[in-house]
Amino acid sequence: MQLIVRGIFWFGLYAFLVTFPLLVGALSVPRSGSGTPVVDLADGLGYLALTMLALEMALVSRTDEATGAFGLDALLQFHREAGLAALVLALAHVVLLLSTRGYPLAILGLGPGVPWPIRVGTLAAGSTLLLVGISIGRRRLHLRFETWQLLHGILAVVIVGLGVLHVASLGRFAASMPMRVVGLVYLALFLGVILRFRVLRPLAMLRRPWTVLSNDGERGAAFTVRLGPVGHPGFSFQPGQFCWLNTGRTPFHREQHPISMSSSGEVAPGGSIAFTIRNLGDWSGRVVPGLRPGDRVWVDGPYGVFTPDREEGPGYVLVGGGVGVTPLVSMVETLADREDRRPVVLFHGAHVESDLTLCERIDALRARLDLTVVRVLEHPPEGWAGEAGLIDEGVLRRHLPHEHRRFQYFVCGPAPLMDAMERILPSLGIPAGRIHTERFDMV
Amino acid sequence: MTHRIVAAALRLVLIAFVASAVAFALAVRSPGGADGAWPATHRNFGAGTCATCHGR
Repeated sequence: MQLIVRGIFWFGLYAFLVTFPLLVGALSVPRSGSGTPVVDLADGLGYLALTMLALEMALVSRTDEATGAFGLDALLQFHREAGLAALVLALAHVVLLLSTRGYPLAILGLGPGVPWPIRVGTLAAGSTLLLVGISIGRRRLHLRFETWQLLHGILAVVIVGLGVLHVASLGRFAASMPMRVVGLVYLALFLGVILRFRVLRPLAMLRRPWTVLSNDGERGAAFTVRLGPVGHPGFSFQPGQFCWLNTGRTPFHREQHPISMSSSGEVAPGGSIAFTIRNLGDWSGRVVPGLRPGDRVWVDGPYGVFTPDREEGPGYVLVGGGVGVTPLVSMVETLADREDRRPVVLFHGAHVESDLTLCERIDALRARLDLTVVRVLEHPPEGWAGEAGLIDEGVLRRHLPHEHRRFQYFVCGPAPLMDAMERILPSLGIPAGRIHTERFDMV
Repeated sequence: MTHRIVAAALRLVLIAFVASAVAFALAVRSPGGADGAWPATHRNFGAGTCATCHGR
């Protein structure tokens, strides 16, 4: 219940922050004349787009309070979709102005004849289009994650900078003192978020380094990297959570990756934590396999609400596809460490047997827990005793325990598996509130 | 399910945003413009610049 209240509070705050400039504009600019309401609507949409874009960074700045209410994966999803919505609003701003006031298309050009405040606005809208384009089409464009991350960060600052210049130099609203004050406060908020995210947080991480203790190859082209804290006690975590890993020389290095812990969340002070990372060809294939004991790693976390610690139930059903099984292994290990006696059913799907990441560790846990493991291979070898095909309704019906409707469900894997489970589980009578998902390609 | 909840929440928020933009447009009537004079929807960029954007 408390989580719902916190959720409503943060949504309310977001909606308030986005619409507040409109309220101030409506109150501080005098009403007069017949006017052109469509132009005003275009202006309103432009303000909404700019404020939403300025708040985009705040959404993913890993504020403890907001991530605790929603989970960073949900915030990242909101960030992605709100960014797309802001682009639509920004384009609607342009289209409405062009359609209602007889502006020629040439005004979108960047030639010297067009007043510079308008050119700046056009550049801001174009940059937003570019940012969304490279985000949606990153894989199709064969853009490396690291390159995309750098471009994304630069474009975000450029867009807000140009947008603020556009409004400040063009608008009649910016001529009113209350709107100027609001603009300055929002700009300070934006810069404050950047300062906190890019300077203060890395500074805190600098005082809490981690070192590689071991790095072992796993099935499914994965590596399990075990890290130990250096000069600090480390942390325990809720199983299923993840951290941002940074293997740069300092925590100020831009490149960082969200990775789920695959070890038990019951960590004694000074204890180690492990991450199982699949080689996807980028950082995970270029840097991770080369990590050696003694190498320095920076860890930001833990984050996430995809955890049984928040969802009490008489038992758990875990569904993992490929390397999506790693947070589920953390859950199983943690339950075993706690000597939990509740039943756990783990569905583990993979293409081929050699892709069953961490299956030996899972088997070892059977002795310490009421654990049933159902392995499902898309291409099973000769004589395979497990299930064949995909994790579908038939597989679930064959292996779910009698009292399965009261269990809590955790699903992690590629999008097709997630989509299938979100469709199938409710049809088996599982209430939506007991189905918890995490898409591991969230970034 | 979080995925769907977030998407639904965003849809609600966006509807509220667009409604607020419409309310804003109704509350703030642009002054001038009815008699062909410069409508104060943006600041005046100076003599001769109107034609660049508006063709007149």
